[in-house]
Amino acid sequence: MQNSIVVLVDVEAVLAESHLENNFYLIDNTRALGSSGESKASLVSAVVGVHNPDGSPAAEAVLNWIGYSISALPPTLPRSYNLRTVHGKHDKGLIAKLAESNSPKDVAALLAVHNDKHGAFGEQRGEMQYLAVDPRDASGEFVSPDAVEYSAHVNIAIVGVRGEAVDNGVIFPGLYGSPDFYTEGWYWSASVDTNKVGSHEYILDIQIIRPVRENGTVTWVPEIHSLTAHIEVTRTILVNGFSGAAEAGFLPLVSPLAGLSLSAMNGEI
Amino acid sequence: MATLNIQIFVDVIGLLSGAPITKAVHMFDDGGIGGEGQGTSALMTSVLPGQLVRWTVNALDVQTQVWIKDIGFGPIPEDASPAEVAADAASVAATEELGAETQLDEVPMTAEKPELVLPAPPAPHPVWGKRFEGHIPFEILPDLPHLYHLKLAFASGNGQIITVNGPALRFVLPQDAPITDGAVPQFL
Repeated sequence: MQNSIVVLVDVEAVLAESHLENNFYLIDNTRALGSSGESKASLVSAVVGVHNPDGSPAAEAVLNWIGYSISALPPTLPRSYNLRTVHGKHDKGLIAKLAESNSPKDVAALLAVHNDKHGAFGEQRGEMQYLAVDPRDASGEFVSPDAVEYSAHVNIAIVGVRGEAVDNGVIFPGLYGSPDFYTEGWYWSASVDTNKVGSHEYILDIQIIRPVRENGTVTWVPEIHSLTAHIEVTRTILVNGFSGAAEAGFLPLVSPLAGLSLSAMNGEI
Repeated sequence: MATLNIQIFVDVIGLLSGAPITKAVHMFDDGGIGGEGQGTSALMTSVLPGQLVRWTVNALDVQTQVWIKDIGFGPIPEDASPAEVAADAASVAATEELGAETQLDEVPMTAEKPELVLPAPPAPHPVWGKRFEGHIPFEILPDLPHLYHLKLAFASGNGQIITVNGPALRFVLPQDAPITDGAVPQFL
């Protein structure tokens, strides 16, 4: 079974206080299976192991970590959104201006200016730009790249999974490739040895970006902060769904003729 | 005789968002001859007496949780589903109440040691710890479809139950089996 564990970080608060404590939230999708402390830092994620009667694993338990910054741009907004809307706006503006001009010279001048500033009219602009959307604050004003709010728009990155659960061979984390732009093409995932029943602790290393002004230029300096999280591994031995026994018995088939005669009898009554 | 596998693929989000079962549940088997309705929720599986049949459920959206809660044979009464959902909803409510009581009781007892001590109700076997497989009885009547219904559960298995009605098992006598594409029946 695949578990999702979301790490939600208030990046602005972390930048202000320089620590993660009280500035992050953990949420998972296994509350119904017994996770506790949901949406708090004290989350204990339930991991349900399923084993065959001989003890061998019958299903894989996998943890997936996804990091979000509260101020981050919506992940559903395509990175090309700004590009497309801005160029689209200029293309529309050009058409309006062309409609008003009546000499070929004016038309040529307008096209030349547009071409210089925005590229050829109607050009296909399919490129995906890195963080193409300029962050704005709550009042809709553009935020300067050296402001704290700007780097808060950059999603956090999980850069490592370690700790007791890893050292003891309970979880086996790895960095995997992903086609998701939001995670920059990578995400951390781990398989769980569900024989290791009980509570286990692991550490997530979270990278945030701090804008630092030095000699008149702004540099984004990565900062690594760590948080401790927990899993609770339980183990269930598979039983036969029909009989509750370990071995398969005969299926409790119902003769179709029995059903028919019953319907017929009901019809007569 | 080879084990016969029936794989059930469920679009969990679609199903829980109101998509009809026929569009959200897809069933396949490796039974070969005489099987019909591959990829539909009305799969007709060709079986042999004594054969081991195994059902496996998979979520199309891999991080959602879907389980087979039960498989029942024979036609289901028309009014079974709503009552069942209500009963399950009641059990969820009861569980939550129990949790609230537990917390209240605990406050004075564990004021010094804030450790969650759950009462020990007789825990039923979790819905994810069941394997649905069994042998076809030797007295199975040939040619007739033996209808069954699947009860699909989600997450802890205490919430909504969706009953998939329509699949069937059928014992097709080898000499009656339509042979397609020059395939030779494995069991001859």
